[in-house]
Amino acid sequence: MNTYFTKILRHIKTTSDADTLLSQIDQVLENLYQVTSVSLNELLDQNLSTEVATEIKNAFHEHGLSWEHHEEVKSFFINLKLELAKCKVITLTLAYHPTEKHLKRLKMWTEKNLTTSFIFEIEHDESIIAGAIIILNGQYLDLSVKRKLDAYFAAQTDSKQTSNNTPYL
Amino acid sequence: MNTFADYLKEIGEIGFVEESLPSLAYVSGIPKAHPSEIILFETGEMGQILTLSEEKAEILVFAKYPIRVGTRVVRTNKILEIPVGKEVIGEIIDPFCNPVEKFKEYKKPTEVRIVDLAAPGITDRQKIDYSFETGVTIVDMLVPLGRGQRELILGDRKTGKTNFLLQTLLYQARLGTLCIYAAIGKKKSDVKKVEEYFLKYKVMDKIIIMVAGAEDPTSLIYITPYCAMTLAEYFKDQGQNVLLVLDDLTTHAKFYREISLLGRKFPGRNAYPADIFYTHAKLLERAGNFKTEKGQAAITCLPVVETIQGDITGYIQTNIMSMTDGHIYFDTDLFTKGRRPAVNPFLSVTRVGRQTQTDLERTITRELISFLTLREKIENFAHFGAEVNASIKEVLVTGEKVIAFFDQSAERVIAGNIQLFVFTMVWFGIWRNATIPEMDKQTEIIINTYEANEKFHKLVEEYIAKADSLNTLLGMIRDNLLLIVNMVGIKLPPNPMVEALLVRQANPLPTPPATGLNALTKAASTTSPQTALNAVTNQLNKPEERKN
Repeated sequence: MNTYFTKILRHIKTTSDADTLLSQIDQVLENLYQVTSVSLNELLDQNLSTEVATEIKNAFHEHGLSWEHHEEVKSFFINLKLELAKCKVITLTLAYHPTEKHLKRLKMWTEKNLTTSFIFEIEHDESIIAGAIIILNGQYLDLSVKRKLDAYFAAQTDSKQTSNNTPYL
Repeated sequence: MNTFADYLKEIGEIGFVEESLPSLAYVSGIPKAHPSEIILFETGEMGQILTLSEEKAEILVFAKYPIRVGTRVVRTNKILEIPVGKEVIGEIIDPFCNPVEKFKEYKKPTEVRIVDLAAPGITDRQKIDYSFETGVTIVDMLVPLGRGQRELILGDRKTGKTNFLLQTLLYQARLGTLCIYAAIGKKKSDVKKVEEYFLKYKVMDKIIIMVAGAEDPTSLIYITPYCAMTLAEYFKDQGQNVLLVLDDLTTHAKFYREISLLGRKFPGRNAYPADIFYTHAKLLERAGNFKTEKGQAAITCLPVVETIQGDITGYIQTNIMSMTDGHIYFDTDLFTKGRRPAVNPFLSVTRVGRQTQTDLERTITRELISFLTLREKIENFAHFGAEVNASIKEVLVTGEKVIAFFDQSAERVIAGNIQLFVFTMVWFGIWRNATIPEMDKQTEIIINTYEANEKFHKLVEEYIAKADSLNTLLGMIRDNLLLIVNMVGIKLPPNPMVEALLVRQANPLPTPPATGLNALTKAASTTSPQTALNAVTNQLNKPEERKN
């Protein structure tokens, strides 16, 4: 089952995606015990995104889960929520709004190079000019162009002051 | 001072406020935070880490309003420090040594000291040898203090505790002691009155007033006594004696309780946190008499604790009584009867002060205490209207005069030596037949003469230095009563014994010429040994005198 969770979570790139998935799962769980003529597949299609719904349907098909297996379906979604909560958050401050493609590439990079599952919290700040500020587990790393420029100009100012103080020979 | 961005760049760790309460904030992130570390919020406020858990750090926020959730936070890798130096003398400052008056010209000290320090060990301490005078007669004579003692001031509200403290501060400032008055959770109007008192008597230049008012953040009120003690330690290390008044620790305990309960610490007795004893003990243990590089120096601490309806068995009250070297109890009943200061000498204790007393002081104190105990018993007996004999009447009359002698206005401070001198005169019975106002007037003249007249001042100092007991001093005063009365310029009230003395001293009988053995003795004492021997030989060779 863990493989399916990994496949589902692959589609969750940002914290807003995670929040959306959580609310969608809550919707499914609410409707699970209601007496309707809607099938489980239809329920998933109505409440979840296409990719996530597809992955979940595949998982249910593999394990032979259907509408009647309420408890097992409920247990599946609860475990999915727990797996989602285990994901660590990387806060990325960027000077631009990244596209879906960029986010997908970032997600693939983390899956390939890091052991734990990560999701991104994207913050937008044009003042950093370019580059990124990364915050993970309280560690702060400023790789922005702004910092580099500030350091460069500060060094220039210091060296000018030093040359002004040099005695006349 | 480094900014938020500077620390962020230097330390490379960040945190976020997850939960915010008045004076407290819970922060996630900052993985390498350590307890008591100072942290900086991006809005400019400061805080101190109180506790650390796996996921969050509990921060004591030094800001008036709660911090917004989501605010970024950075570590500073520093413990709480305050600037200390001579520049704060004569100023009214907050616990961070910033002037309370915002636009006042003020040079901030450059040296800094850590606030939360462990108390010095036994090897750095010295026995308390010197007496500590308060200028208040009843305390100096019945509950004497020593320099470096921690004496608790205990009593209900509005019983004269602060007046007593102001008198003590005034007297000690005049003697050259550096005084620090820490106002903990007081009203601004009360602090203003204190400032005006010191300005009136021109001692503000020797006093530091550290204020955390009732409207200030709870966290600031909590750290005030520790900052005041840190300042006291700085001056102590410069070799200066310091008087530190903490007014008051019951308020401090209440605010610490508030912080602990907000922080979800388990409530103990009376809802106080379990470490309330430690909170005050670690503070008061830092006072005492110490060996410093510049010689012996002491921090004398007078913490104040308020009681409710005279209940001295309360939690905080008994805690601090056990930590201090005695207590002075201000009795509401005595205050109601008009006694000022309303010190109850029977319920007051001094564990250290008596070892600093001279022999004279010790005999007077002993005599006084036994007399007052006897008087108390007799008064209870006489209250029923029973017939009393002459000796009991004498005790009651003398007792009335002694109690009147102890009454002292809040504006008056009296030096130790003149207290003993005037008391001995009262004890002698000079004002036995006078009314209380007459006695007060004349004692006031004597005290003023002592302060103004150098000759009389010297005389009193000489007598006190020579006397080793109450009886000796009494004898000296009796034998020179006319001289004293003439120097002071008062007319004593009618008293047969005193009048006879004065007459005798005014018209001394001529001394008869020395004969026989008396003559020999006189000669021997005034001439050289050989001359004395000759005189003795001549005397022995006179046959008619030998026969006689």
